[in-house]
Amino acid sequence: METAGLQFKREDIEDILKAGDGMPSNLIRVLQAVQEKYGYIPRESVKLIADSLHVFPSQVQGVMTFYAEFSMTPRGRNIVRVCRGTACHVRGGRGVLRVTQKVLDLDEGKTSEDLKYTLETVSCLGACALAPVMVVNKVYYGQMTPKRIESVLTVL
Amino acid sequence: MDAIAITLNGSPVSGRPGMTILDLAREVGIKIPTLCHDPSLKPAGVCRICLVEEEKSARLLASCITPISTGMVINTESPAVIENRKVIVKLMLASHPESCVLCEKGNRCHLRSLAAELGIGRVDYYPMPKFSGTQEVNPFILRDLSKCVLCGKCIRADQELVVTGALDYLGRGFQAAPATVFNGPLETSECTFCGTCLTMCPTGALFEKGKPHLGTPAARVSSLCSYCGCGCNIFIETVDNKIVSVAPNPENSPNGRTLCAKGHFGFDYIHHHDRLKKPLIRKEGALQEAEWDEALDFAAKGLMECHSKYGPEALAFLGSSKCTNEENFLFQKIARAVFGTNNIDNGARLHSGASVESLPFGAMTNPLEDIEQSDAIFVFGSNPSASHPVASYAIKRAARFKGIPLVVVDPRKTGLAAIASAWVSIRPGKDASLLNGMAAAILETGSFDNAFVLANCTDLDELKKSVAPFDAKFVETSTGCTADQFTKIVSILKESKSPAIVYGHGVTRQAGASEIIRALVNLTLLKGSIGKQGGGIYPLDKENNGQGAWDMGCSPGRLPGSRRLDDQEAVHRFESSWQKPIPKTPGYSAPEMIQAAEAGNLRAMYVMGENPVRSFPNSPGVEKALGSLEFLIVQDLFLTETANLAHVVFPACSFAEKDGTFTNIERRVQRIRKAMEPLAQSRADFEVLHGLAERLGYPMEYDSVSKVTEEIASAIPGYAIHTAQRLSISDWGNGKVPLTPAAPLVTTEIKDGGFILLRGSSLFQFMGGTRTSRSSRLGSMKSAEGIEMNPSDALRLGVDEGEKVKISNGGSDVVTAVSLSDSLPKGILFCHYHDLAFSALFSLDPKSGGSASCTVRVEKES
Repeated sequence: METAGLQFKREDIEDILKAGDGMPSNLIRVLQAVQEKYGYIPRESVKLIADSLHVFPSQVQGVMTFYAEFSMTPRGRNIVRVCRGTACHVRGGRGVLRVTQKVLDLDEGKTSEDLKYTLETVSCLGACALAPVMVVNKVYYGQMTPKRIESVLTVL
Repeated sequence: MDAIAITLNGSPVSGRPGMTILDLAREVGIKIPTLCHDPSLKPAGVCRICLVEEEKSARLLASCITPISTGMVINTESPAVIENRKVIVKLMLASHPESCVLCEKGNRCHLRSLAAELGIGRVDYYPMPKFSGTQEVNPFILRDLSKCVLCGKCIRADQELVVTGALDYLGRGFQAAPATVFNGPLETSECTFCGTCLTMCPTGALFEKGKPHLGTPAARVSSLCSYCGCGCNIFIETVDNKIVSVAPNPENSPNGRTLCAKGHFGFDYIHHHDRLKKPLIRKEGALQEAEWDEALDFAAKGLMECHSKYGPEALAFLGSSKCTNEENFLFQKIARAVFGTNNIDNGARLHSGASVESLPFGAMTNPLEDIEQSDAIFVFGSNPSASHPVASYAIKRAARFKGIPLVVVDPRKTGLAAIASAWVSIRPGKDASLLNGMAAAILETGSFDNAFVLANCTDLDELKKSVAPFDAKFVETSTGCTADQFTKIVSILKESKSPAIVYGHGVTRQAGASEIIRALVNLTLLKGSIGKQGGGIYPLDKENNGQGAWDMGCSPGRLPGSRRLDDQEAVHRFESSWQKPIPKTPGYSAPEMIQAAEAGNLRAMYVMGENPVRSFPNSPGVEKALGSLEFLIVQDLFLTETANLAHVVFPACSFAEKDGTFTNIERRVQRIRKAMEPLAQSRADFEVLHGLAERLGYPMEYDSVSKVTEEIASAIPGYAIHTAQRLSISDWGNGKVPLTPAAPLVTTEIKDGGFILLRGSSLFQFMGGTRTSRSSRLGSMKSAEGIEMNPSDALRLGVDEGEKVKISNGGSDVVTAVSLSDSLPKGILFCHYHDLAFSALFSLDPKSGGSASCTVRVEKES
């Protein structure tokens, strides 16, 4: 996501909507593209997306609130995801989350006021061999220790 | 198609391809419990209550979504099935509040009956109820999400049946709930309060607000809705002679599981304290209570006196588009047989008179459900979302789910326009020009049904000649239809084999209505879509029994069965049946009655179940005219504006207190049934007419309403209880049907700064609002009051939302608040029928611009 904090403008998503081709089945792809642009799904875009894909606005909301991937509130420029899956849990995932919360001074699911960080938890990242795992801006960091957490986060 | 053989509970059965296990089980009479399943919705398979076991694979399948396949061995009651069903119900109960004793759903709760059937007394699981509290903001529907079982029926009904899309799931897992966009209140969403979600909800999560009785009603009677002409079948539910609720009756009905806000919630006028309790007689200038015998004698004497003093032409009868067929039949029989006058009309004259003169039976040629089988839908001057909601659902389903092209021609951007393939914001009065242009375009390229026209129509060359001047250039410059729009709608028309052509009050209440209808008929004939599934012409212009009132002969020029007065055979038949001569010249139409009363040519009038002072345009003029009558009888539920002028007022009872039949816009003759005893001393119109006829020296030997129903069936062949049937071209008369050129009226151009004021229907009030204004729940929905105006016009006039303007038509002034609306084009204003303040601006004279549009000037009121 390149442009967190960008003001919503209808013109800015015209191309995304056009790529949706009026097909309801493209809804998730369109939502992903909008989220990629703004870091979240702006409220104003919901009706436009719905109309362009011939679905109801309520259906767009239904899909975007079902998937954890989509956010309806602005998110930080850096997305930190800590795995809380079973494998990570037995290897100390809870501690990783606690340390991360302390370092970022953020609760789970929250975004810092300066929009620098968003902290999320996920149920599994598919990298159990590296447990405990966290992902920062799509980069995987395995076998986390408090020290490694701090070094990963402070370079952001 | 090949049958598919499976084994069901040990017996071999066979079904058809595409059937689900549940379908087949129901067909062979095996009961599988369901919760989220409803025959009118697409199966969703979300509740898993309908699990069955496939014994070969030992798999548990949701029977509502699993198609049958050859060789399946299904057990609907195996130990695994029962165990799993119990677990599912127990889990639901564990998150359900223990409030059954208080719950409004009472014995009709599906969850409770499932638990009872499965013998679940104790839940066993740790209770984890969701707490949400009751949410109540709107006047109709209450919500207690702690009782929601997430079956999704409300969501699916809203999306699939009503096509509103106000609801969908929000969130997931334990947090999931049906919600509007951004979880706002229903009244700020797209919701139209049709109440279908309420009908569908299996538990007490959704319930009706303001219901006078909690729990299961004592009695339930199948009847019909008394508002628009869709003819929705309803159940009237009563407790102690009081209606507590209304629900749709899906059996073989035009509405299925749907209704609209008026039909579902607007019945409380029946118990309004304004209901007349005793007959009233005018004595010494004031209306005073009287006994029935006295009032009937007084009425009979008054009518007889006027008749002998001034002759039959000085009497007039206004029948009712709300009363039953039987009552309208008797009413016109009294007018013709007793008083020898054809001065008989009905309250539907202004909005459906033009159709009656132009179409066979003045009715739809096809049943409503045909709209969904069409290949293109054209809607002219109709806003069914407000006037005929159930018809609008069908149009929306067709456009949204079947991809049928929808063309909307209306000055306003109506609810349908928003989802249309093309919306033409036509200039008022230009419909016939556009239609002629469309006819010219398909004639020019030969994209019409030549074989059909050759076989069934005449005068093709005349039509060709008459439409030739309406080329694309003309249409673009004079109708408000742009070149692109015209190309688009013409291409949709060209590609269509059987277009459905829908029109409404926006056409019928215009000055040139019959010309527009002629042009619509020409288009239908050119496309050869009469008698075809999905084709045909659909006037959405009548009330609950507008069709019946016309069919019964409440018309100055037509006898029962739409037979003309010059139809010798029919006249003889009725004369010999009634043992009285029938006058051969047409009498006054409703507007002519008002004019004649004003001119002093009419001396006495009998108004049954109509309130012309309120429902006709130019209310002050109508009031003055009727007020000048020597003798006026009014029969109504309330002391209406019209009844106030009367010399005798009979307290009538509502549709729920009597038996009879209504004929809907599809010409479907359906029965209403008495659900409660008449309130106070009110009587059914039928009984009043019966009593009066006796005093008029023309006793009628009917011991019950059904005797009249029988007489109607013999007087009008085929007029018995039936479902909607498709008309064929042979119903249009003997021989070929002429293609009659339609001549658009020359409309006066609006001078600088002038506006055209249109009047139309609203969702929460019905027509003049005599009944709906007495419904407390409907009344609390403040549908836009005052006048609607385009924001740029408002800017030009320097007024803002809620500020006052003065509207004048040269004769009358109205001061009203402005409400800004993007759905209106510049130069057009809009107001509602029920807003009586505007009535004075409109004219009853059919030549003066129609009863629902006029030209006005607007200035800011300082």
